Amino acid sequence: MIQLFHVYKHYLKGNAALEDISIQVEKGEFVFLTGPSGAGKTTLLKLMFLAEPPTKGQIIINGYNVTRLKKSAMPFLRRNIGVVFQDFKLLPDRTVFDNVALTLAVLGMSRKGIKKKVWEILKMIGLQHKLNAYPLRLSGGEQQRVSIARALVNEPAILLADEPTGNLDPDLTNDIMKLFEEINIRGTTVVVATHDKGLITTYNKRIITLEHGRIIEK
Amino acid sequence: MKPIERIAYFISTTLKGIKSNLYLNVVTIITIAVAFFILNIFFIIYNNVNSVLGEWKGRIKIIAYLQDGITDSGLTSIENHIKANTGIKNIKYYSKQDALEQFRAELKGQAGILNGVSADVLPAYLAITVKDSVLNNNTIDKIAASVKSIQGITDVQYGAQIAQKVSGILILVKMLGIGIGGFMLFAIFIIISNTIRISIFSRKDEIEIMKLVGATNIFIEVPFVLEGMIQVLTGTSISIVLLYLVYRLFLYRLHSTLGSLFINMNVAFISMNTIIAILIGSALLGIAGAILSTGKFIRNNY
Ligand SMILES: Nc1ncnc2c1ncn2[C@@H]1O[C@H](COP(=O)(O)OP(=O)(O)O)[C@@H](O)[C@H]1O
Ligand SMILES: [Mg+2]
Repeated sequence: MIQLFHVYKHYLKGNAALEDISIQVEKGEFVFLTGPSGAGKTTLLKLMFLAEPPTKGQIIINGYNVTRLKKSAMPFLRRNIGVVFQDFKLLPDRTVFDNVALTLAVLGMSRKGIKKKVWEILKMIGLQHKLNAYPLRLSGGEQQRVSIARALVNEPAILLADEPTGNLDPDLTNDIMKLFEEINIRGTTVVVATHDKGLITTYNKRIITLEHGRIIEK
Repeated sequence: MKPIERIAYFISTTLKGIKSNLYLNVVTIITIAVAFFILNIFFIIYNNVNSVLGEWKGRIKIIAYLQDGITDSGLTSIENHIKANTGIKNIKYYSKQDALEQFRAELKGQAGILNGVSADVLPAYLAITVKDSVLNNNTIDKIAASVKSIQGITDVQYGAQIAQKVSGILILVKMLGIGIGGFMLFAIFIIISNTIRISIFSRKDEIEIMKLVGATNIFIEVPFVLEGMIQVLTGTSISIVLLYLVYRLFLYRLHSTLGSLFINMNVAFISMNTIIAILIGSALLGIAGAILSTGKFIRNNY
């Protein structure tokens, strides 16, 4: 599902963020990407959801070679990837419904289809009663669930999460992780980047550790 | 999404965008309206002076008086000599009899004076009309001199000095208009692209999320391009309406002050075709200005 071969990333300013990364994530896997702050976790995820190009190496997502993909084809590959961030990145001037609906609107789905799908996903995350609320009136955990709903509403094959529980207290962290496990059981490939050691020990999953931009074998 | 639904989506997104940046949009539209207003006043003045002058120019002639007793072949030779000058539009021959009739016609009611006058008194002549280019390059003097030097021509008369001057001024006005117009169109282009740039930045987060969830560039760009188009179109429409009001008021004033002095006083407004051309042109200008910014700030991604 996700393959990287000898991938390097150098930002224009600064040192190498990633060096010689080769990893393979199978379809349906649940993987923790871990390592100290500055190790390159976020950078690695950015390469995976096409927010940054690699400096060197090959990346294959869902069967497509990202490095050879035309710019115009990138949006279509991105539709297979849901992304969740530590700071949620919800639009504060849009309701919960509109935030989640955005993912489907850009696909060109009909208003009716959008309504049905958004309702279903909000029900799954238990926020159907907050349909018309604005994000800033929700708790952190609720906001993160909305952002997960936005990432998942078009049923992507891959879910990437960058420190998704970084802003949440332990109870809410648990809720979110349970949600990820549930999605994973339904067949979505999940990659969670976190520097939270507690999280990794609580949930027994495959772990990829980065340090100074390199993979550390454990 | 059905096409109609997609269009509705784009329009509602565009309107939301305009609403969220209302102040900026209003300022932009007013600026454009003022610019086009000035431009169009120029246009109206130019058009009207030009059409008056055109009519006037059409009547300008060089009259070349002929010696008595010119033969037909002599006449042909003279005409050929005249035609050798560049810029000759037409030559018409008036015999002594024609000249007398012409004179009578000009005298209108007082033609009685000419009773008993024989056609023999008046010389036959050639009426030479010249092309516009002659008036524009001031070569009528040269042509007249050359015509005068032809054997068999006794004298020439022409009254083109004023037309030449006005023509010169008009060329200046035209060039000034093109200069100012070009500058203003460029300024509008820059203003629009700037407004759209601000619009894009104010919706930076939304654009980022849209890209993240797989929106194509076109899908993101269309509302901004529409916004640019709407701004310029609204601005020009306002300027045309304003211009029309000023035009009516001006004409009304003109008529009531001058009374029946100038019965044929007729200042033309911009024609419908021109208005349509202005609207289409300005829509394209708005689209181009917007695309400059969307290309720079939306397509910049990896
Ligand atoms: N946009 C950027 N420009 C320059 N350097 C960057 C950029 N983003 C990250 N870096 C650098 O790349 C390295 C890895 O950062 P990051 O991927 O954010 O690590 P992590 O997510 O593990 O904390 C750091 O040294 C960071 O300073
Ligand atoms: Mg990070």
